[in-house]
Amino acid sequence: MGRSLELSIWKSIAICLSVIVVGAVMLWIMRHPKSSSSDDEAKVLVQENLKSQKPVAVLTEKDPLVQKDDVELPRELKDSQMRDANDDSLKKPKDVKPVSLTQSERTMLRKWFGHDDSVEKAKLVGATCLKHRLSDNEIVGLIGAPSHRFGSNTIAYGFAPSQLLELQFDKDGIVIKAKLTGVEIGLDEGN
Amino acid sequence: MAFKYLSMSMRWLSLVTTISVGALAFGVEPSVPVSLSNIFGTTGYGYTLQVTSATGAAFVHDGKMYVQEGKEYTFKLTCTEADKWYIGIQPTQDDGITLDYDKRNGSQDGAGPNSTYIDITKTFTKAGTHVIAKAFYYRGESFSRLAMTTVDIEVNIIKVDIVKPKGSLGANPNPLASWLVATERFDFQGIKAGAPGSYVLDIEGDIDPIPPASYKWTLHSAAGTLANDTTATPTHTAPSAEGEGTLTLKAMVGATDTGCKDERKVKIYKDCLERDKVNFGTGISCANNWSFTRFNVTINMGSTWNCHGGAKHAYDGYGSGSAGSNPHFTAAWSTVQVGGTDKLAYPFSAAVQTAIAAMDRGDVVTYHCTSKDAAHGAGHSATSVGGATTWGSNNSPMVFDAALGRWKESWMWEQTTVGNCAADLNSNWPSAFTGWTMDYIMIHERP
Repeated sequence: MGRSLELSIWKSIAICLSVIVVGAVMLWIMRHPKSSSSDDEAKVLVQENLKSQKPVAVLTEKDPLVQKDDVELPRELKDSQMRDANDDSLKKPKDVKPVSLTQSERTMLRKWFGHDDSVEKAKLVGATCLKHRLSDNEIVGLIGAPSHRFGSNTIAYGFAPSQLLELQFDKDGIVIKAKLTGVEIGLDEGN
Repeated sequence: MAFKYLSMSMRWLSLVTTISVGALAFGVEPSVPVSLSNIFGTTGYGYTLQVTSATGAAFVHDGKMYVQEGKEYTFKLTCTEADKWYIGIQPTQDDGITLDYDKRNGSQDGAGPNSTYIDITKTFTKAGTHVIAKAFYYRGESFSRLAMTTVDIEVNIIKVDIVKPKGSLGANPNPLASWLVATERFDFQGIKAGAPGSYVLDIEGDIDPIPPASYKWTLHSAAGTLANDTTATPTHTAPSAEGEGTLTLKAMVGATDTGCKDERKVKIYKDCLERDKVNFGTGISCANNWSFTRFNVTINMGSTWNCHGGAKHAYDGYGSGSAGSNPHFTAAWSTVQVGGTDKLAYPFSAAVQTAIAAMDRGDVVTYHCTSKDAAHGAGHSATSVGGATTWGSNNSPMVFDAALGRWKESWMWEQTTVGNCAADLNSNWPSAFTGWTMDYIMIHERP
């Protein structure tokens, strides 16, 4: 009986300690929300899922094209982001341009050149680059090395015989004009 | 300074004699030099005001002298007796001409009888206005204002300008505006009647003032004919053969040719292909903001010309140089069949090679990938300049891009043979474009 009582007491103490430890850990996490790469991956995954309502691939903080700003987040993530925003050490460099490519757009750009030779898809690619005001480097990073460079401000992709998607950039390297074999592409084309 | 004072004072002190040129018995003088004799008729001496020009003409009508805008004229005053002479070109109130009031002979002693004492050279640039050529003289070994005599001769500036075409074959330089963006050609280039895409030249002139002048157009017969040739906008009819000639706009007064004129040299080509080939040539880019230099002017083109767009423009002159994935064929075009098919497989059989060699100028060759036909149509096209030789945009051999590790198109205007082009595409399309093979060609006969 005494032994049983002693065992119960130890169990109670263990449970209490566990509760205290767990509570402390949770409290520590909430008060020290410094993001790890896995945290960010999770956040982005949540955002993408919330927006697309479809399973998506995990994105990493290293990718500059990840959307972070225009989706409704769970409260705890919002609070976390608010804290991040107030933490100077966590702010991104100012020269990183916020962009809003969706996962499907990124995938489309990455899988276009060398795989799809249709005029319609080339128009969509051009319009997407225009819509998001992608930079030369971002486009090359997503689509791949262009087949042609004209002067210092135009790259082009020969995606089919006698067909050329040309992308022209401003002085800051942001795409300002897209042409399909000489014919300018509008923002809403290809959709 | 003394002379300036003299000039100012002269208006008050001299015996001013304004002589109407018409009163000097001058009709319409058709060419330079135009001379006004005895301008100081009351003196009894043979004083002559002579207008000469190396480039322009002058004429006198109804008491007024006319010189042509933009041309250089020299006014000379001569006399038959040693004397002291001055001559001036006096601006009227709003003619915009700034010129020294006058100029005088450096020698007050004169140079003897029949000498040219004074000359003033001036280019008149403002049509529709006039200036006063003021001649004045004094006699004797010393200034004697009382002896001075002046004569005012109104010199009108007439515009005789061919507005269209702005360019001219052989002009150096030609104006940028001579390139017509809408039709992608020079404005002095025509196409002979009956050829695909034949058109007539757009011609317009500007003569001012009317009257006294009026329009008269002439055109060398090798370049066609003109109707309504006494209006500002005559109607051109293209000749039935290629050729070139001078288009002239003459300023007439009545039935008299005044000699004031403007000219353009125009060229009529046998077809749009020949015209485009002259303009774009070979070995230059046809992609992005490409440019070319012809007829002493560099034209910057705004956009890429692909092979189909270039072939269409070479056929009928239409389009901006960019066409989709199919050329421009209509029902009027037919295809060449060999062995019961118009899909002429590569490698070419002897019969196909014969058919290729038999192509007429203007026929178009298209290059196809069987598996892509439904979605894309032809992958490449070029126009025969006669036989197996073809010319066109993006018709240059493909190039290997070491950085990309594969072949790509070189986007140049080029002339090559069907055999060489087919071999190039057959070899390199698979590297450049996934899923593309060059399987066969088609020969399209120009209507």
